[in-house]
Amino acid sequence: MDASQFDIFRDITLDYFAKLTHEKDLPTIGDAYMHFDSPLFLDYASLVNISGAYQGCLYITTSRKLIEHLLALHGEPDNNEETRLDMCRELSNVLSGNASHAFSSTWQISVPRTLRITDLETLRLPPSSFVMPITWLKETSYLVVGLEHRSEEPMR
Amino acid sequence: MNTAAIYRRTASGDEPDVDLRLRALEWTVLFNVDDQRNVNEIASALQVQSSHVWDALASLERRGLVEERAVLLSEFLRSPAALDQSDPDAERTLGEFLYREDRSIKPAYTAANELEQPSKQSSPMSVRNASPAAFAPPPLQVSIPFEPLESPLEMKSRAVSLLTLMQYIMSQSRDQTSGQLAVYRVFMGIKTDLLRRNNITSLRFTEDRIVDDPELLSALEASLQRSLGLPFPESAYVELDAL
Repeated sequence: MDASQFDIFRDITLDYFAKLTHEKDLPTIGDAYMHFDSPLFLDYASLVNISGAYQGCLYITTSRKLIEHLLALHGEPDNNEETRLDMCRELSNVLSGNASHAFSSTWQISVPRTLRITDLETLRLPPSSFVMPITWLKETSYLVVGLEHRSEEPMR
Repeated sequence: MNTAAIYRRTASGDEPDVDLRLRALEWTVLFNVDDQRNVNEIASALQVQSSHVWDALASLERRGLVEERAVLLSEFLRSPAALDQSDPDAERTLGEFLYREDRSIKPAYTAANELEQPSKQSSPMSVRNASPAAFAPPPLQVSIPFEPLESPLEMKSRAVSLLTLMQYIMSQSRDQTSGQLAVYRVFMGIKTDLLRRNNITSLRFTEDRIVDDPELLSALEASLQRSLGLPFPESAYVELDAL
């Protein structure tokens, strides 16, 4: 994965949150780290699969509270599971668009998926991932890149 | 002369004929044959030359009083016959190397005791009736100091600082993101079971962990070479003793 492509993807994802709030509430990115345990997953996740030199996925996983903040910022008066999932799908489309913008020259990008934590058991994600914490409106989300060699079992 | 040979008494040696006549040293050696000690050890206990014991044993064997028994490898190795002490630089087998420092085979009782007891017997015929101390199989007190072998890879005594390794990888990259992704590529090539076995479930790029699991070190070295074409940096090694 080319670092400049990766920087573009990270920055335009941060911009999505930045444009929704005032300057004092700009998102901040924490120290990146590698994760080797069970997949990092909060209440919801927006995910795209990518395939190129490696295969894997990009996803952002968020808390329910952050999704509720997004609903409020979009002027959505109803806060229930259906509207929260709608908000997650919106986030998935943003992620997919950002990934296509950044990586489409060298990577194939799948259609986006919206996942709840209950879907985690049905997923097989790469065992190693590159994690960037994003803190916004006092909530921490995680932008995750999981890659593995292509010869391994394809992800579902 | 084979100083590693071990003899045992035959039935005739245990109950010699009343008319049997032997030289004094032959009687002494007969009393000291115990199915445990080799020629050299008996000679050492009696404080006589091994060749004299050997000659006595040969005489006793001809008379059917003792017989040589097969020896175990460990029994053979404790004999100087297995070792060449004359040249410290001489090539040795592994067994010779392991035992090269050990010369302290200590009989459980002294030669003086053994020499005195047979002479005090009213009849030299009754070997079985002699003092039990004279014929009880002496427990060997072989002191074998532990001496670990030096590993050719020198990995056993060393560990790796993961922070130093990561910094080395990142120093090869043009910017922070490239460096972190390069580190991730290296770790991506390592089975997570192996990392978790070493209590590594997550790792920040500014965090240090000292690992000494040879399998993990080997996997890191292989992945570094395979992913980035880099040799493993000597600077990443740390001496465990220094920790």
